[in-house]
Amino acid sequence: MTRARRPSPQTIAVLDALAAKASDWSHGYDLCRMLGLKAGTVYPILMRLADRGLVETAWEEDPPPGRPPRHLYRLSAAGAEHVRGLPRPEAAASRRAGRSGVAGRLAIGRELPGAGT
Amino acid sequence: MSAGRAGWRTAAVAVGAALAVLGAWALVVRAGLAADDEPGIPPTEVLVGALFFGWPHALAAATAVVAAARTAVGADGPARLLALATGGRRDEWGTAMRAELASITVSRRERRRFAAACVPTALRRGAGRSPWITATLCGVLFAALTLATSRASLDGGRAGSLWAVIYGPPQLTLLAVGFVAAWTGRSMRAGLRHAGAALVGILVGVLVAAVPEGAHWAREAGVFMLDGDAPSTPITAAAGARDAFTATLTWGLVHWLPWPVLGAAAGARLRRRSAPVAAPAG
Repeated sequence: MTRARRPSPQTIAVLDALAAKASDWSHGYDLCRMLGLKAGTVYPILMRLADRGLVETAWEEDPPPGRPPRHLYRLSAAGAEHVRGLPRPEAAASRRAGRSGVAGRLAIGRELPGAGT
Repeated sequence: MSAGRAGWRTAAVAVGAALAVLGAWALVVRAGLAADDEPGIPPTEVLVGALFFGWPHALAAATAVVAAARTAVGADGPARLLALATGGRRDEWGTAMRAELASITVSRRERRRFAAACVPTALRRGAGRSPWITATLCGVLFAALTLATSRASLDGGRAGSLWAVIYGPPQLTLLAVGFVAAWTGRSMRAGLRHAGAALVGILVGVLVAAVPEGAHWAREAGVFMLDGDAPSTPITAAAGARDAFTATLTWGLVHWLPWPVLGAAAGARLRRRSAPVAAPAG
């Protein structure tokens, strides 16, 4: 049985970034850049979310010649439900943004043209 | 670099590593013989001593070089680093991180940053709790063995008991644990994880039992627990405990170190020979 515990701000940021792309796939490196987080933070989060069935993974189908297929991520139906159920009062969200800057970067990342492609 | 040239370079580095380790052992043996106040140390004696004590270390060093060269394959430093950290495994996340690195072409610095950030995750991935179970089992086993042989020897000939516990049984245990874990886990990394944990467990187990027993031997028999040696002057309990501690580190730990590598390498190699891993699609 999975332990129910409060997700970290970084986990929430990853979930929000994936939720913002709806059914589109994201890449690990692009998530790192968009959120301003290191790969050593983002990958363990993606692994845990995938293990819990909140994130779906797939492999790029037609990679350019000479490059291996990239790993792709998007929220599963359960993940989307989980994101909707996250407690996030506006005040708490702004406090988190002020403290870690993750939510702020996420907001900026969402506005970047071509971000996450 | 062609495969043949890379192979020769790896072989040269492996031989160099083995010779460097044997050279270090020669210095240790020479220092040990010099401390015995023997006039004129024959070089052949130093060489034989270095080979006798140092061959497992030399073999492990060469094996480690070959295994690292075999695993760390990539276009540049960051790619090789990540390949080494992920163990060249075909598992989903190791492959994902390597593929992501391959897509980063912004700058070499960015590639280095990404690879370095992935290394701790790659090393932790898949470890689970089982190595700690191995460590605990080995620790309990060797603590019990140290205590049982100590009391049996104290009640018997009082010829010392620690030597028989720390020189031989741990090496065989580490070789076996490394071999079995690499065989069942189908990788040298799995063998190293379990045998490394076993080494820590054995060390803690022996020390926990040997240090108080060393003091007990000094009080009860007035001799060292290692080999029953009676010093010219009476020894204190603290000296007995200290001797057991030092002996466990020098005659124990130093001689245990190569065996996890040798066991893991042998297990992984034989497994590869018996059941080659299928090439991944794509």
